[in-house]
Formats: sequence, structure tokens, C-alpha cells
Amino acid sequence: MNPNSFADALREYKDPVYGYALYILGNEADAEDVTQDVFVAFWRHGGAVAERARRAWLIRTCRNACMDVLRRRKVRRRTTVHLSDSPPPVGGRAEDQRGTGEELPFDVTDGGDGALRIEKRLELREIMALMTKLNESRRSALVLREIYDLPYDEIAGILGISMSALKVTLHRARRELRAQLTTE
Amino acid sequence: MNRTHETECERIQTWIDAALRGRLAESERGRFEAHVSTCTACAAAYEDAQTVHRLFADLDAPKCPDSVVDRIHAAVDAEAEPAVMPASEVGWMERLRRVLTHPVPARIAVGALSAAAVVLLALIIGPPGDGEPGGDLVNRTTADGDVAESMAIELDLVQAQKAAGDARLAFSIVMEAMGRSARLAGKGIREHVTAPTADGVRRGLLGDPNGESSETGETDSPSKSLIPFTDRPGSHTVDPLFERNRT
Repeated sequence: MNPNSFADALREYKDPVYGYALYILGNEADAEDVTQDVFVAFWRHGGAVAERARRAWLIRTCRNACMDVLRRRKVRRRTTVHLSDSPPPVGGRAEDQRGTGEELPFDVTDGGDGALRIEKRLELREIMALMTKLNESRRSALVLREIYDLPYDEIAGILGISMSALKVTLHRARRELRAQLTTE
Repeated sequence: MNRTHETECERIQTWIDAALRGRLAESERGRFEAHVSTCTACAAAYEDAQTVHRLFADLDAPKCPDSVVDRIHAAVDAEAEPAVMPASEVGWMERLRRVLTHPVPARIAVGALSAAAVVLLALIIGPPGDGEPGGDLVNRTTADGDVAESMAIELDLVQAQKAAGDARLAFSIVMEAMGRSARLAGKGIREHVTAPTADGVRRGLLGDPNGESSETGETDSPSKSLIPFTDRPGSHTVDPLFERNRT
């Protein structure tokens, strides 16, 4: 692949790919690994991807990688004595965090606006904890629509569903998330 | 709920996103608000969407850490420059590919092919005629029976020269002549066979006024039948192709 095209794609789409992975997986270390895998795959195969289809290709590849991680987690959880229904905490791998309590994965020692940033991050963490209770397709639809403002047809293509199915998915995702917010 | 109302609900719900982002046209906005104020299902859907939208609107989208970008660059660089395995550890196809794509053998191969093409071209076109040292074979004939064979070679070369328009024919003639040359070289008389002149060969073919050609023409050589497009001794019939090319 042309190194300049790759550099452009990395600069433009690294944040959406990482952010999507973070919302779907719920922890930073896994999101980082997946982001790396996605862009290495793009380096290998992205030469054949049209420029206008790059974002959809990257996020669809990211979704597939996230599903693999979720599947592995499910298998690991089944084979581990210590079972937990709670979602993996944000920051660090789920297995690394197990038994260590609610460790903050963020740097709280930075000065200046540190307090504000921690408050924001905690909100993000709470939202992500709520999001992990949604099934994967609802989570994906919400993230892509609400955070990255992707058009309906692009989201439908990424998720492999029809436009009307996407509208139903989004409607149910919003209703479920709101219900969780009111019960928390 | 009747069918018309369902259709209106579907339409209004597709407008919810646009309404949240302030992207509805003025007329659509009026219609949207009027419907939501009367339809409880659409009002609930709109409220859900508003709540979730506000929730995410207050958040900054996550940023990919620089360390991940560095890791991606390192991984891609490693992919772009694969380690070269020693020749002993690769298959014969890979070894052949390396030899053929290596710059030095490739240049040698191109040079050798060019040289071969030049030699082949020279054989097809034939040697120059007049002015060639010792060019008149007919005047230098001996009584040796192999002279007829030498004559055949000269005739073949001239035929090739004349039939240059027909490259395939010329090539076959030249190849035959080369075979004969090789046989004569084995007999040690190759020094008698020199480049022909057009006049000399024509005299040999069509009958020399001095009658010298009859001496060689009547030689009973076993290879005489291999001479292409030549007159038989005592006959002046000329091959039509030869004549056409001459004219």
C-alpha cells in the first residue's frame, strides 16, 4: 500500500477506530491491541479499498476484531473458576483487573484541570459500564450514530443490516439505555 | 391506530435524529412537533433519543494514544521490510527468482541474447558479395569431389540472400548450410569455402561462358540433391522464386 495513503488514513481514522473499540470492549488495553491489528490489516489489504469506503472498511474490520475479543472473553469466563457478571472495568485487561477492585486506569496526578478531566472520565466510565449491558449490535449502532455521527446507510453497511432494521435497533438501544439510566 | 397514522409515525421517527441535530426544515419541524404532541409512542421515542443524545453530547470522543500510533508504525515498518532468508533455507523457485532478478545476471542474459540476435541476423542476410577477399568460388574450384559440397553451401547462402522476403525459408536454408559447413570443417577443407560473390555464384548456377561450372556441376556428389532451387547440370531452367527475387 502507498505509505502516504496509509499515513493519511491513520491520521484521519485512528480516533474513531480506537473510540469504537473502546466503547465496544470497555477497556483501553484491548482497544489499543485491536486498533493496532486493524491498521496492520489495512496496511496489508487496504490498497484495494476505495478512498470513500475506507472509514466503513476500517470500522467493519474493527468490529470483527472486537467480536473475536468478546468471544475469547466469553470462553475464558466459562473456563475460569472466578465468575463475574459485572462488565470488565475500563482500563487494563479484564483479567488483569480481576480481584484488584475498582482501580482507576487514568492518570490522576496531572495538575491544572486534572479534577475536571477525572470527572469527565468517570462519566465516560459510567456510560461505558451502562453500554456494556446492551448487546453488541445496539452498542455499535449507538456509538456510530451518537458519537461519530455516521449516516444511516454507512452504519447499516457496517453492521450488515437493512436501514429499517437499523432504525429499530437504534430505537431499542436508546430506550434500553434510558431505562438503565433511570434505574441506576 | 389506523394505517395513515402508522405511516406518519414511521416518518416522524425517521426525523428524530434530524430534529435532535437541528437539521429539520421549518415546515418539517412544525409537522414533527405537532405529531409528537399528540402521539405518545413518538413522544416517548423522542424523549429516549433526547436523553441519550445529551448523554453523549457532553462527552469528548476518546483519542487514540500516541503510543498506539507508534506501535502501528513499528508493526507496519516490520511488515514492509521482511527479513531475507539465506539461500540455503529457501526453495528452488525462490533461488531461481533471485538469480533472474539479480541485476548482474540479468544484464549478462540481455547481452547474450543481443549477441545471438546479431549472429542470426548476419546469417539470414548473408555475407557481402563483391569485394570480399577470395570471393569468386567458381574460379577457384579444384578437382576435389568435395568442392561440389562447397558450391552447394555458397548457393544456399545466395538463395538465402535472395529470398530475404521469406524469412522462414531463408532460415531453413541457412541452417542447412551450417550443417554442411560443419561436415566440411570435419574434412579439413573449410579454408576453400569463402564468401561468395553474386557474379560468381550466378555464373555457377546459370552456366559460365568459360564452361568452368560444368566441371563442378557434373560432379557426382551424394549431397547434390540437397541443393535447393538450382539448375541441374546441362539444364538452364531457373527456379521461379530465384528469378523473381533477382528481378
